[in-house]
Amino acid sequence: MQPRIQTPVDPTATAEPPVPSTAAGRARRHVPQWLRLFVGTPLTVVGIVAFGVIALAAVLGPILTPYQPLDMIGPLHSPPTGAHLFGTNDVGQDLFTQAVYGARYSLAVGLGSGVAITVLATILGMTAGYVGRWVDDVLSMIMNVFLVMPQLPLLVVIAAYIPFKGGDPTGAAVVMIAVITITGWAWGARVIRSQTLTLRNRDFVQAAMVAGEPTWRIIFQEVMPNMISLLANTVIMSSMGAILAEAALDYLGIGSINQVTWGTMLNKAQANSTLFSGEWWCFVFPGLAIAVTAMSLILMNYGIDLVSNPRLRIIKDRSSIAGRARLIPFMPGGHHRPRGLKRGSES
Amino acid sequence: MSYLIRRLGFYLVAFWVAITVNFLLPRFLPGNPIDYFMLRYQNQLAANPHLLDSLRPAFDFKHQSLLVQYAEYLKNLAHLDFGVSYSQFPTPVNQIVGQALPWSLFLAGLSTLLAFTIGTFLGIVAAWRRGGTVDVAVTPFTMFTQSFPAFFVAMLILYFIGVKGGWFPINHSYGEGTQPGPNLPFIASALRHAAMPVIALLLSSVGGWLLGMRSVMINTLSEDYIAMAQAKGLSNRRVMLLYAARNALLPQVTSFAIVLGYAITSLVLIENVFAYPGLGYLMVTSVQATDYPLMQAIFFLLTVGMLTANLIADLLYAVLDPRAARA
Repeated sequence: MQPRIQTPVDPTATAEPPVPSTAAGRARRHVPQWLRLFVGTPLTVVGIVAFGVIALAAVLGPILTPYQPLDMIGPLHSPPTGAHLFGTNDVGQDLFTQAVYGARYSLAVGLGSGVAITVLATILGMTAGYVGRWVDDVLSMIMNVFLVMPQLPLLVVIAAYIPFKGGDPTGAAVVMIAVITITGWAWGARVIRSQTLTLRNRDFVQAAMVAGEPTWRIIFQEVMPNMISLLANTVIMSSMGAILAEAALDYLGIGSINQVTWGTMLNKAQANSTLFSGEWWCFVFPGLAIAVTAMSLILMNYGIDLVSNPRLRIIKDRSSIAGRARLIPFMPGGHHRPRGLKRGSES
Repeated sequence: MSYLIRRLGFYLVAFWVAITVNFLLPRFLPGNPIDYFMLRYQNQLAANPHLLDSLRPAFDFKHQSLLVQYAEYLKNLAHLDFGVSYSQFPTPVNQIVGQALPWSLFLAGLSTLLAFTIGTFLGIVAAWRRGGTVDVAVTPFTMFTQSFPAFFVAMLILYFIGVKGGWFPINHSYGEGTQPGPNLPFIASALRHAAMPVIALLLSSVGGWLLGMRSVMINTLSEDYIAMAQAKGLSNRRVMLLYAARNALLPQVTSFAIVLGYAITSLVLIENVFAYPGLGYLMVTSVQATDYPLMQAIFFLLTVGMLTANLIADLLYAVLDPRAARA
């Protein structure tokens, strides 16, 4: 059955309190509950809208602005005006144009890495969790080693040896995605492994095994559907991590230095001493672009957590330090009151 | 005991992987360090061809088998000999790194200590008064710290507090007029120079400690002994700090690995914003100058630092919670 999905463009309509259980009400909206929960949370709606705006800007790019990002068209050092919404830099390039083109690169690298990391993490994590035994030992060891290596320094070292400073944006983005994926898959793989491990020992999976279902079927039909929310979390959080990592590398001037990205905009802003000359628009706008994108991803992730089964959210993996520490963020925290405690009674 | 051996074994493997990665990267990725060097020092090399001799073992990959190179590399590492810097030729790498290391340790130590104290305390309060002012502020704050890149926060601080406000010195680690050493003007100057980097690091790391403490503390609060303590009529402060927080503090140690990894990342970025002469700043400078020996040494140090800190956290945990060691 294909549920009719309302496009979540009108948050006020979907954020209404539960539908009155009249026949008319039921006929009018046939939205699945998860979608209603997802778009019914104000914070999530903010996230979706913010992300939508940035994604739209990235897609429409050339339509939104008459300039090319490197054209030296405007006056030099101009603060934001009607003609140049985000102002101009030291050579008269339009910063709004740069931000829009930067969005294309950042989102491409971010979402590309997010998907690549999730695929890699799913393959390795599920293999480790499902096959078990020595395969698990080896893969877990690799994951843990990656987790205790400092990620940014590793990225910096790899970036130092890779000549992806070329002018071709697609090439630069692909190399960047590869580098970020290699250094960033371990956390997702760990979580997916734990989840696979618990699912594998559930009765329905055991029953499928006993019934002689082929392994691929068990994995794709029994295990995978129970991990959808986890996979969505992994895509979103890995994308956010990738966007921040890419921006950091570019900001340091060792990433895609010949591309127009939010990171290189910040790098130029710092290199041109705009912080000291008071040209705040040179670094505030690209910085905000990064922050808003990351924030929108976090908010959407939060929405997914709200929707998914609370039990799926808490994965207890006590086998190592890293396992115990994580998954603390983004848990709505539950709304149970501590037993026997009167909240706030001490004041 | 077997727990300790297993953990030690793991960190040894991790250490081996790290140094091997450090060895293999320049050899398998395109771009040959020694070519850069020859290009850069053409004139000096023409005058003195022996200059390169000290670098060959580390970076001339063409003439020896990989195994021989690896043995040589391990031997140098065992002596902590990282060779000679390219960009500040012929200063030994160790000397350059030695000057930067104390500043990074100072910055990281101070900010981690503060972040742990403040974050844990706020976490206690947030968990104790669920839905209270602190608790309500927690979620937005942690979202803020997770999504605002550390370096952007640092740039904002630099701009508004440093440049516009003029409250603190905007770069370097101590004033020019002061004499490094245990004297008051120098220490005061160093603290003032560290102020903005520390604030930036704090903002980016407090959230982790806070969330961790809050979530553990919420679990602890539902334990029977808390209800018992309240039933006995103990003061709320006593229950909060000595019964709940004390027990919730332990798992905080386990957040260390992740918090530390994040702290190193932030440190590298923030040192660059403030031109603070620590390892992170040096590392980026060395990459830009294609100074590979220096970069390798710093990567080695940062990795060792992270592994050591994790090992200590593991050991500490085993001592504080014997159940962990038995499991």
